[in-house]
Amino acid sequence: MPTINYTPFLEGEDLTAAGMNQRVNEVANGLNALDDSSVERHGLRYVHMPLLSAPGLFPAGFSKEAPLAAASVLDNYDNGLPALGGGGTGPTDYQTFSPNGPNAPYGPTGAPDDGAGWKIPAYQNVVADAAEVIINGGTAINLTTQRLKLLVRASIEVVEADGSGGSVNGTNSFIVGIGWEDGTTTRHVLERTVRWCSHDAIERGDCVTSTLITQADIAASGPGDGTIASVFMVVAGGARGSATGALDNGAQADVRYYNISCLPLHAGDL
Amino acid sequence: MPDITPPEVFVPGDVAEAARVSRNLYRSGSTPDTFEVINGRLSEENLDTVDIERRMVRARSFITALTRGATANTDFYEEFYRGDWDINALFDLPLIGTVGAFSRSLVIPGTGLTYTVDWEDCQGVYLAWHIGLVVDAGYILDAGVLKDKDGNNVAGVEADNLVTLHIDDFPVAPLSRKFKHGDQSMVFPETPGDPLRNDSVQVDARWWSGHMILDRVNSTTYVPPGNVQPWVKGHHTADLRLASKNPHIRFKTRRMTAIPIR
Repeated sequence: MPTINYTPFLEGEDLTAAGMNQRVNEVANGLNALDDSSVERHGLRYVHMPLLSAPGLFPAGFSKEAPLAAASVLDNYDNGLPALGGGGTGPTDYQTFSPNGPNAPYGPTGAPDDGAGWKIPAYQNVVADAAEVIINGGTAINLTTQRLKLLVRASIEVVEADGSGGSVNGTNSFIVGIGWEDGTTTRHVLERTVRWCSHDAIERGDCVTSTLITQADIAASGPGDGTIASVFMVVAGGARGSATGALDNGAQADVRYYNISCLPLHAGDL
Repeated sequence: MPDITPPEVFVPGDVAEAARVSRNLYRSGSTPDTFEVINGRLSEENLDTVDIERRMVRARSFITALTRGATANTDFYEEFYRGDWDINALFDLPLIGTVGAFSRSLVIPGTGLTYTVDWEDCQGVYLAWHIGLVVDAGYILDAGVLKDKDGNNVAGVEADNLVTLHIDDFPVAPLSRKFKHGDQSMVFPETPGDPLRNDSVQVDARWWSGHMILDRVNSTTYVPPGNVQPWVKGHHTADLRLASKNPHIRFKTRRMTAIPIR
């Protein structure tokens, strides 16, 4: 049980403002500083224990999906990824976002967007429909402080996909990944979540990726400032044109339904 | 859990009103600050130098997780969907006499389950599913060109089917997929003697590994207010349903998982 020192009222004691304040504050201060013994199993009733999830940090919900109605118009994503260093060959740059389009990096560009970088799916460029889950109303949090890890999964329906063709047959791809925005409003992509989906495989119906985000992923010593304000899906068209890794930016895809979910999990050792 | 900051501070000379005393004990709010906050909102701010460990989190949080599935082939034929209805209209439009796809949808056996929410404080339901299927639109290759039975070129034709997640019989429109036809029939090859395109390893096989969290924020978008929401204590259903104008769709492996969360 919590250790709360409470001074009871005595029979005949005057009911004063000071006395009332003292008793209320004694209980409040005790609850504000529970010690380790207070949370041992059965030390408190189960309703007092933390929820497994953290709904208070997700006032807008754990999930985002769009479009909500029949999609008579398909969005076309014609954005390719650049190579590191800005050249046409070499390793792919997975951290650059396209600056082009009405609400960049949200939604389609509306024109060929070769080598510009990632886009965040947003049906018909409506930012409110973006494949993004906002955390804590957009005020970035530290996952260690909140004792959280985030289980994130994202998927998107690719209806048609084609491209001008890489020089290696079958290499045209639609690329998906998961990223986050930190407290400085800088966006990053978790490169282990990047999936190159072959255009042939696309016509199977769905591209999906998932991951568990920990504080180590967003640590200040790495690419971010150590905080996280949102998680989102990223998409791009791209292809490997040759064994040296030249990128063919002619690949493009028409997409329809997409959704992303972010499940916060409270557990110290998860 | 936020710190408890009693809202009522008594000043000498104040009248001892019962209402003011009660407000210190309980007052609802988006950011509660009375003793009421100890109900389920303990967190790092309240636990001095204590790490939240698995043993502290409410027990039995995953006890009602459930998976159902099936592997025997299940076939859907166009005869199941006779009548005048529009695959591109999701909902019925009675004013103009349009029958939409959702009202004609049929449950895909193996994807339906009933899950139970045992708590008052369920925050949502995590749903995950997988289906594998082959679509036979009756198209055949004619000299390398895909054509329908009337000889029309069908390259680029939109898929004529729709699979949608349903929760408590309500469709969740954004969790829908259309599956493109194969370029051969499942029941006759382009050339007699060729293998049939009716197995999961051929490029014509389709799959969908989908997921969604229905929570206290988005559920009313799909389950209209006034209806029991899918995270409310009690029994609920989740399934995938098919509406199709294709001659033949064969579902192979399929499963559905529901995990209530708190």
